[in-house]
Amino acid sequence: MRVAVAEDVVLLREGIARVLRDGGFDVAVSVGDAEALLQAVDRSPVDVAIIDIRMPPTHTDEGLIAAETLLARTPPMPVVVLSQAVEPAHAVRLLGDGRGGIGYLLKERVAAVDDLLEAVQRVARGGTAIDPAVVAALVARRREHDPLAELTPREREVLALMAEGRSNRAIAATLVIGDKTVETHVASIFSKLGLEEAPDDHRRVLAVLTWLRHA
Amino acid sequence: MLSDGRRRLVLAAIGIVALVFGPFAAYQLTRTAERSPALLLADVAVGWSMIAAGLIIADRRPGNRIGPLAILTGFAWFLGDFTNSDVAVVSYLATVFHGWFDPLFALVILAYPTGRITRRLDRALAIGFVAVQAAWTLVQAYGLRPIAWWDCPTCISTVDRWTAAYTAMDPLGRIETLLLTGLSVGLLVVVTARWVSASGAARSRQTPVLLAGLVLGGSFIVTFLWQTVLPTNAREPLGELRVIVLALSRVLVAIALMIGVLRDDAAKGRIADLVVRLDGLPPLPVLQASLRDALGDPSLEVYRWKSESGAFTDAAGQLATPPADGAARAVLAIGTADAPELLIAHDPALRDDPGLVSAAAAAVRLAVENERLQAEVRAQLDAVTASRARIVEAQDDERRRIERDLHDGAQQRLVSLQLSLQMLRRDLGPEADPAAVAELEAASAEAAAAIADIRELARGVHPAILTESGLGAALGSLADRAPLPVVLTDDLDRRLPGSVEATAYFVAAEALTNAIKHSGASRIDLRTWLADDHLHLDVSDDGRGGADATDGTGLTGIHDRVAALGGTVRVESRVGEGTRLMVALPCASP
Repeated sequence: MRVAVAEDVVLLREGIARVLRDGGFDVAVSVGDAEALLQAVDRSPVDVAIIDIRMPPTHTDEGLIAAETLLARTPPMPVVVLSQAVEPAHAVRLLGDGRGGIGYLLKERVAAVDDLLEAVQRVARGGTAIDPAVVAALVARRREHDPLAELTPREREVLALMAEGRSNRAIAATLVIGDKTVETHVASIFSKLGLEEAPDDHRRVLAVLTWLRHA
Repeated sequence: MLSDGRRRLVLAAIGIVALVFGPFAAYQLTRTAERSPALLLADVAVGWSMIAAGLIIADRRPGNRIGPLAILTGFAWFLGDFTNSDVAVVSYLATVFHGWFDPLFALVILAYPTGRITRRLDRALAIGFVAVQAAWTLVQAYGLRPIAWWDCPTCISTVDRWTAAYTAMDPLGRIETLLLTGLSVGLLVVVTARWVSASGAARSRQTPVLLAGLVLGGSFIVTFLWQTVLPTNAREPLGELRVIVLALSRVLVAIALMIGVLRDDAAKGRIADLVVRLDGLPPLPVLQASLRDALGDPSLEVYRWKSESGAFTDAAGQLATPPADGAARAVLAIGTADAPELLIAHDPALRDDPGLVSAAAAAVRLAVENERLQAEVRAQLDAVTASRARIVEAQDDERRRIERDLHDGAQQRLVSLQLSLQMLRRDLGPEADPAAVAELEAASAEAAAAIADIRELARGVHPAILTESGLGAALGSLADRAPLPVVLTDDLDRRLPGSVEATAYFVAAEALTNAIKHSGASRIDLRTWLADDHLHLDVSDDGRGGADATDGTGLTGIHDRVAALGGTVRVESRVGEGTRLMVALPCASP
């Protein structure tokens, strides 16, 4: 699987590339800014791009804009965005109207090698990967008459994994429970939160994240 | 100097005396001959008008000698009525002294309007009048001995005795008349010349004196002609008419002189108006018009120093060379002597009235100074406002820089370190020393904790999302993190200047912290929108209210930050009704 890495800190860029190579990816593009990334993937298309949000020249949201550019292409190019701060707003902004092929990870997640590889693979296949820290922050958010209070501890775990972008099967594997049990939990969660079942996993992520942010 | 009250009392007494004395004097005229009421009326009117003018001047201008002079002149006039008294002593004294009317009148004219006789020619004339009259007084005192009381204490004065005494003095009397007529012609020439050479304000001021001079000179000339040229048989029918005409003109002159002296009052009033009008320094044409009006000098010109062009400009704004101070123009400098800000060129005749000019100059000086101080304060305020805004901006920039340094420096290095540790762990493989692996895991966890710490630290210093995605996203992030339900309504559709976004963000953060810590609220509403070139931020909670801007650092800090950008803060916090903070920050549309 061909991967592009856009990260302005050389040390980190090389580190990420090494982790990816070790994980069996083909790091076809390795650049230091968004402009170079867009040019490189034009010449040599990749299956997924890993992009740091803050890059030269302004060190603000160059990476986010580049990610949106890639997502808007036909077909959309899957992207994993690396953020230095926990900002659910960024995740929701990327998810747009519920498209897949999107990852939003904290930068330090690259050190959790297995998680990183798993997330990149999921996104490359059109799935969604939201950093657990982002989800945790949203779940912890205080709400008036918090409907989350009605969830069982197990349901909360399922909700968090759903928000991270995992499929029912992945959730079942993570929690070591049966697929059917996960489906039951999901149905119960949606009913308690007053949400409609989403047709696919990434729309489900968007629905859950939006609910978590605004409820 | 008498006190005001004393002086008024004395003047009132003189007035009462004059009121009684006038008709009494006129009555004396009727004792020896048949007199028409018109003539009697004219006689009283002359004396009264002179005394009244003198009293008013003495009251309003205590230092001006014209007041007492005019009073004396009036009484001298009435003295003339007693010359025919049948009491010898009265008749004698009246005859000897009543001639002082004309010289005193001349002194009044010469001393007009300040009460001082300063010019050499004026002094010569004054001395001439007084000397001639004094000499004539002595001559009369001696020549009229036959009717004086010490010669014949029991005598009743008779026409015969009078005629005899007068005839004896006749040649000297003619000389006296001739001399006084000459002096009067001189006086006439002087006042006419002064009037002709004066212009504008000064001329109108000299007019009463011209009139007075004409009347006095004219009266002498008429009398002279009367006595020398007119045939004796023509004198009698015209006699009364002559007296009445002369009397009426003297009344008019007395009134004109009084108005002339008191004109200063009106002028002072106009100066007072000027002070009020010159609240700030008006544009030059307005200033010039005001000064012309106040000083009554239509030729007055104002020049202002323009440091940009290094020259003076006139009221029309044209570069101009002001006249030099001299005989042709009087020039007054406002400001420091070597670098005047304003020059006022006026009619040199106004120098006669230094008080008026200096009062006007003081008013202008005050306005100039006022203007300068106001400009200074404005400039200082602008500088302070600008520097305050710069301080806030610099502070924001600094926070942004620190945040970036944390993220791009320390945090990246720690992430790299953690990555290296993880790679090391992988490289060690499954059969590694468990103790070493545990060490490695511990180091990795430590690095992860340090990364999280730095992330939170950086967020506190300056949230990255504010720079990356703007105020709305940053406020959303703030709401995401709050330990209370925060409902955000964000109606911003564009990015705003960095300092505005940062200020709004920190104000919102501070307000949220206050509400969370102190208000006991269960819900906070956060609203932002753009209207009227202002960013509005409303933070309201449902807590206990009663927040006090003076009690702590929170609201004070908010006030300071917002004020630094020229914004406003309002707090509504009635006890039991929650707290609402309303902030508006100027932010012009792009």
